[in-house]
Amino acid sequence: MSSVIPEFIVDKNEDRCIKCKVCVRQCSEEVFKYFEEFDLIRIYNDKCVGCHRCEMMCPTDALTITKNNALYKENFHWSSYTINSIKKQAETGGMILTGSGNDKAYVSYWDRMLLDASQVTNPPIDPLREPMELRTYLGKKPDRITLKEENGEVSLETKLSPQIKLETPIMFSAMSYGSISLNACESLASAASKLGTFYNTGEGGLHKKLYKYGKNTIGQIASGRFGVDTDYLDTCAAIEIKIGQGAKPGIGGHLPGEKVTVEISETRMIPSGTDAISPAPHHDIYSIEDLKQLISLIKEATNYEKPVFVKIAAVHNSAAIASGIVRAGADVIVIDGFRGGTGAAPSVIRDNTGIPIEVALAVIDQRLRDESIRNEVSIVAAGGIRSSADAVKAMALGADAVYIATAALIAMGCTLCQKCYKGKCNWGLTTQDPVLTRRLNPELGSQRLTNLVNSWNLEIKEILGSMGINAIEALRGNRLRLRGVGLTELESKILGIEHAGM
Amino acid sequence: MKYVIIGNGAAAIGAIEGIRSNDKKSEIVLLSKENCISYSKPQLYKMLNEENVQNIYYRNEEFYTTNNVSTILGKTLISVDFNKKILLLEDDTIKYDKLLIATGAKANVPKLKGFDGETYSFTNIDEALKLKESLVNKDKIAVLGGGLIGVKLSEYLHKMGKEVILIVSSKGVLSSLGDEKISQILNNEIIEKGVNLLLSTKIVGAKKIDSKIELKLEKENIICEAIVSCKGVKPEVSPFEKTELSIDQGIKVDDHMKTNIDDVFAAGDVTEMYNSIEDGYCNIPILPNAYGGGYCAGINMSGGDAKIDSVYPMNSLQIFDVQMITMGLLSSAEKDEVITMFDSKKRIYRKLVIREGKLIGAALLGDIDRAGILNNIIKCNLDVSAIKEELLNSKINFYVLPRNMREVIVKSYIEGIK
Amino acid sequence: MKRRIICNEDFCIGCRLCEVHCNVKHSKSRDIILAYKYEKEKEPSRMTFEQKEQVCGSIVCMNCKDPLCIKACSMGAIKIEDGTVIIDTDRCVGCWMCVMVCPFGAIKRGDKKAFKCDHCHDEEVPICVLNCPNKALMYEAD
Repeated sequence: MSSVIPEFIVDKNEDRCIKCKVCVRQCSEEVFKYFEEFDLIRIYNDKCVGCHRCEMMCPTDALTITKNNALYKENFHWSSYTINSIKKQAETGGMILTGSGNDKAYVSYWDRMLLDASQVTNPPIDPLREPMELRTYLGKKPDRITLKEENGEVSLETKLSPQIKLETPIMFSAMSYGSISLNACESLASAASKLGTFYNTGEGGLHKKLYKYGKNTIGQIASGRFGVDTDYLDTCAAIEIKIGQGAKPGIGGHLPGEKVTVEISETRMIPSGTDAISPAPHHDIYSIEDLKQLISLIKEATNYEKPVFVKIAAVHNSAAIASGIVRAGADVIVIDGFRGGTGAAPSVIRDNTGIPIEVALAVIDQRLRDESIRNEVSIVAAGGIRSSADAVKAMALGADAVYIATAALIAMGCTLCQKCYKGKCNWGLTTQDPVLTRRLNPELGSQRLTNLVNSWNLEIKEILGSMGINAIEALRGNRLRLRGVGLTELESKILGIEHAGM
Repeated sequence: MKYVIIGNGAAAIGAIEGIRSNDKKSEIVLLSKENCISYSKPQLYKMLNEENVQNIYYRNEEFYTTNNVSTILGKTLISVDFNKKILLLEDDTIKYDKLLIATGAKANVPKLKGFDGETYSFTNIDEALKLKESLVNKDKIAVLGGGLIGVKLSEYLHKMGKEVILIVSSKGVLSSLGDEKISQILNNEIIEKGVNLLLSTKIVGAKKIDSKIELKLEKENIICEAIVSCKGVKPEVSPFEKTELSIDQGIKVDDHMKTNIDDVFAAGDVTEMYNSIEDGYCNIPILPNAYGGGYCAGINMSGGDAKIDSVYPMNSLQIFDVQMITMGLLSSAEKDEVITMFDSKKRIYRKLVIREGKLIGAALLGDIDRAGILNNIIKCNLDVSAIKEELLNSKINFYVLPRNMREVIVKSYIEGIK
Repeated sequence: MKRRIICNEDFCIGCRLCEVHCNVKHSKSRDIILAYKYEKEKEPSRMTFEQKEQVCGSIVCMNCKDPLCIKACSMGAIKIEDGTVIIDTDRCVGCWMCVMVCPFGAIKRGDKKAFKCDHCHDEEVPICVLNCPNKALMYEAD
């Protein structure tokens, strides 16, 4: 007998239920079972993960999933979650696993920052009447440029480092084929190509089917080196070295063998059915100098034509590391905050490690400016960007662009049930079960992602207009347009922003 | 161009629609011995207790005018001069450019020894009406022949409240299907419902005694009031017997419905065609073949190029409460694999005949839903070795076929088969 | 105009909502709860959901170019109107010749009358296609 009390209650309104059994067929957790003999749909609350698939599919709205409010007697110190975790561990002796990002009640600095708007002395711009520029280039910018004039035509004499062109400062963050389904990968790839932006392969390699989206692909190289070969390097538009991930800094990746299908094994270039383990560190990188070697190697291999990204988790000494990364020759730094998602991580790490992206971003931008090397690198902020407002605030804090992944998954159906690690995702996202992966039609997925980013684009333009700015470039690092609310003096100082009223 | 069609059944109607799909203008003349617009032969039974002949019309009354067809009804064709392209009627001649022979079939009425009274038959509307009229004051009817017509007629007569004696020479009804189990199930059904069924019974002769008839059988004599002979049909080829037209069981046609004579086509129950399952020429008098053959002939007569799908027997029938569909070959040869399923509780019987991995025949009794899927498997000559058990035991399911096969099938029907 | 409902089985999720919405559309009240819980007369769905192991999809009348059902109908009750195969229920006598020949098993047996998908000819897009949650059902018209 399990001593864990069900977290959710599945309530079926018999007056509305038409016994179409769509719930029975759709729930991969087998919460519902139909007994023909009794014409009865039996519900097993204990199996419910609270993903709401059944609720959404039920054509008569007969189902309601509610939280089991009286799970345990209310206790501020010993929450129901804590009690259930202890019970689970007492039963299994294992680590508690979880998926997606840190859901604990830490302060969100996005919600403590407000944007400025223009009034009288600096008039706002109407984005419906005047052009608004969202285009951004990622890559190393020169210290100075020299122009030359020939026959009355002016051209650039300085040779620029490789750049990638983004039509919107929003990219899709790394999610590997393996952690998510191929249909989800294809949705991201196709949306990125329609939007003129980029998606990231995670450490999953590049499936042959997705090679056609190469121009919009950032290929990741991580500690397992899965799926990396010359075709991969040649096809992707930029290469990202992943050092760490916001959701689980200092922790490697582990794709269990049963998820390594034939296609995944071919894409990752490993035997099928074997565990795909990405070590916690890169075993050839123990210093900035080692990192520099890998960056040089990749640049050499890609003929110095592709920008190289380095991604780190936001941790306590991020600023110093970032400085080192710039000096190691990276073109782009990606900082992944502690709210960033994951397919699977020990709960204890996800919930207790890392620092907020807002803070890391602010200090890194400041540090690079102080060292006069800010122009040598572009900064991408990732991990828990929820809206266009978060994205704008990130850019005001110093980001060149942002990565979104959890928001992208939500657009494709995810309801943040955090059970990605079970591989039974009811929305066909974080699963390789062919019955479930079919639930995401890439045509629909791509459409929904495109819609999401397009609507954020509209909102960003509206925000820029209200600030009287007509290009995203003019906002970058412009912390004067941010004000804090409810921040301590120290927090304001670290974020580099004035408090509201100042 | 002048098209002439002899006959007014499903094949003739098919031909009109086939011609008109290509040629909207040219003259079409339709000649029929029956003085009535086209009706559905399979529904002829209804005429016994229905007043209105319109209820079994195959097309509505405006069909001929809408399609610009001139009809000559109730006139008999005497012969054809194929060299001069002239039809000879009793009192007239008709010239043609393209001719379709769709004269159908006529009843096979054997002579009963010592009997000079009327032996009724039941293959067209005149015969049906004649029978109906004579039945008014008769209660005990002998039906000879356990084929489809005999059995269906017995059922209808029984439902009309008549006492019916169905006399069958073989061991069971519908023995020509070649499936003993079906015959057995139907025998039981017929007897259960109250028809007096005499099996393995030969008729020696008959004698008229006043208003009654004494029917002499091998072992006994029985008294009845009317005899209806349902001993099958044969192609109506009498007007062409002394011509150069190639006739065996019926008029021989190729897969374009052409006869051996130029510009002369034939379709329907009067023809014999190549049956791929039997690997020989057969007369298959069923409506889908008649209409399909006529339509194909019509297209070819009017300058198109159409090929008839492979033909084999198939039928859908209901006998009292037993619903069944049969198709292809059910009487198996030694080399064939036969698999059957019988559920006596639900009264479901299914049989599949497989030759060299291919399905060549199927019978469905009780549960006939989606039988067409099996029919298409026979038609497309698909290999069923891997799925035969599923075809036999589960509800018929299009998805038992592998995906590539399904995609080919869908495509072929959407785009039309040539 | 030819109307076709095609199921892309790569994306059929087996929810069978197409059947549900088809039934509602062809019910008297056209209200899902009334149709299922209160209306007496019920026909089987015009849509057929098929499943073999992990593969599934729905199938309906394909509006064949050269429909076999028209050739087989003993009453001449089936015709093509505007590219759509239509069964004239007044003429249909339930001989099931069409059931015998339809290669997709798309014609169903009702109470003594055959019936099949009518491609929702009073709607711009058939109701099953409109409600398919994963766009597995595609509607083609040419």
